[in-house]
Amino acid sequence: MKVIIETWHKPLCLAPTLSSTRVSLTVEPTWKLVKLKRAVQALCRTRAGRTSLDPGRQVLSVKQEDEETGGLKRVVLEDDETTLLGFDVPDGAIVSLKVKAFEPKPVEDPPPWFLFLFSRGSRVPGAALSGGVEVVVVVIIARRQEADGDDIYWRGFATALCAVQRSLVCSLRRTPKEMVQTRRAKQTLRDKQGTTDVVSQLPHELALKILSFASADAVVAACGVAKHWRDLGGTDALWRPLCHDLWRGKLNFEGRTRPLSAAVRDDAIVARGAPVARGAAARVAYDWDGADPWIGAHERLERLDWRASYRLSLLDAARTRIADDELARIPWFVCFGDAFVAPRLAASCQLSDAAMAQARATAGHTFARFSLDDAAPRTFFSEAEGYYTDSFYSHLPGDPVEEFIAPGGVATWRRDKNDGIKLAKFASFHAPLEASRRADWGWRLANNYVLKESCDAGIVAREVWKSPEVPEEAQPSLVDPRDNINYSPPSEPTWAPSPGVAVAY
Amino acid sequence: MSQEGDQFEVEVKVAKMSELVKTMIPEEADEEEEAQEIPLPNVKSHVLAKVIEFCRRYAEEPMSEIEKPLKSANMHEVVQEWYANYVDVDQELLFELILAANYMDIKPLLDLTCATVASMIKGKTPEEIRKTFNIVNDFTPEEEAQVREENKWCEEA
Repeated sequence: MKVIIETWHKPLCLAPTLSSTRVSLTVEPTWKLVKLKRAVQALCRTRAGRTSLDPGRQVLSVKQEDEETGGLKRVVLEDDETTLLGFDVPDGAIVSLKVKAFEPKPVEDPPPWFLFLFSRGSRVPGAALSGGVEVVVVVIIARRQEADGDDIYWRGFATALCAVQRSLVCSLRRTPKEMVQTRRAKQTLRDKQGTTDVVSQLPHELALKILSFASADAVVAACGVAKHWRDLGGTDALWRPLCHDLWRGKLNFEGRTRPLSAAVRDDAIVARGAPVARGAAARVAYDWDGADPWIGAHERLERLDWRASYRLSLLDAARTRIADDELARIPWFVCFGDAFVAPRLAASCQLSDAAMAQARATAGHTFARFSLDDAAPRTFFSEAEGYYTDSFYSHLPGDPVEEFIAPGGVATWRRDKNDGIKLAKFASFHAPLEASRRADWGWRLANNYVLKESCDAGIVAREVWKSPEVPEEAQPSLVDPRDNINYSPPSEPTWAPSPGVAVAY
Repeated sequence: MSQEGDQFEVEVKVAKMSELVKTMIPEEADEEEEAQEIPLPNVKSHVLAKVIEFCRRYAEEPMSEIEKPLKSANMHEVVQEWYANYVDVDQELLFELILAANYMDIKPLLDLTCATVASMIKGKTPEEIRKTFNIVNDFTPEEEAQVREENKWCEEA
């Protein structure tokens, strides 16, 4: 008819006392050993992380005792090496569940096993049952013997205790008075370390909760405090929201779709002395648009932990060497220097691989017949004739792509259905484009003729490049999202390639 | 009723801020019903008094949401004046409050107290943090060097 749950515990971490709580539940008489075993196993949820007991190694078994046990069977909770505890469960009789500090036999090797019964929110098995037998269930919290007397597992113990009590209280809310009766503390357990490091004494999730209010640098600083703090500070639960914040609003976050090319990755990371193994340097994927996309994408990428993701993101944001594939993949906002009417050239487009190859193939051709001295660049984009003059582009065979030469490079254009024109590629063959990063991690490539800024894929030239008939004032958002680009050509063109300089075509 | 057996009388509305207490009050309980006794064996009297103080205040003026990560190490810039003063207590009581808030499941109080501890960490070096919380550095010199090396990236960035 009753379940008595007796808990022996150090109530909360700071109270240096042991007390016990006795709680009653009512259980079905038919609730026999097998069922009990299952129920207790269901409760034996181990926690993720180092301090958990391997679920595969703990079993509840029923043993018939040799000695006279008054007809009782003995239920034993044990793992491979150690019997943690036994308790007597007569069929249709009383089961005792005690929550009790338990000193197991010393175990030589990890895993440091530690039992968490009743993880937070779990339900007490007997709660749903009614009528029947008095059952007292025993929950053991084991603590590994450590040579230095480390008391670390008491913390988890207290946590488990709180959870047990809460579960019970929740299950039996009709009779709170019956359930919870405290016995005064009789025994004093002083913290062996003799410190007042209260943070370390807090249950794990509360310490994490505290750190969750900290910024990344504070978490990193906390890692340097002590071992316990270091372990806390590496937790994914902390770093995931931090990554989330870090990535918000950032552009061209590499690894959106795939890992960065190996060369760039290693250059960027190794050059900065980061202790990241090459194989681990997978990029973190991120896409703001999906429902919760960074989780899935992140997990695909070699299960990089979130702290490493954060670190790699920062490293990548500081990288000034741009890869070929990035040049082709990133949508660019192009702004020509004073040789052109800058806004008219604002455009962006992504090049397909084929178009890219074609642009490369034709680059030599264009290059050969270009010289700075011929052509009058200002006539390229005349108001009178639309945006460009025919005389300066040549058709490429088999492709509705138009190409023309601008000072500093070759621009390849493409007409879309509405006769809007997109810049497909601006190939510079003069001063190398100097690469730098903006605060939002976008790229800025510039030489003395052209400024290319990476932009969101959503902001494309279509908006900018209306057909020539559209009146001037009706053209929307010509400079809209990027009107803060103030391009001023460098007085001294940089001709010599140098490290950190990207050479675009 | 606290651990020591002291009794505190609280309005139902205030008491129900604690999810734990909420579950222990029968749903059909009406205002006119006589007072119920709710045992809270894990909470000491002086802590419970402080918790109730928070709940009463919160019922009058809810605390503003605390942003993550904290904007400032000064709690006065994070929450309203009253709440900032409320958590201006010694560390031991602060941690008892955290545990009580966790046990009684009072989210705003848990947020406030945890954020307060976080504010004590903010902007400090590991050595300063150790000093603040009286923590013993249990790293070996090698381990400490390793941790410092691992965390260098943060300073660079």
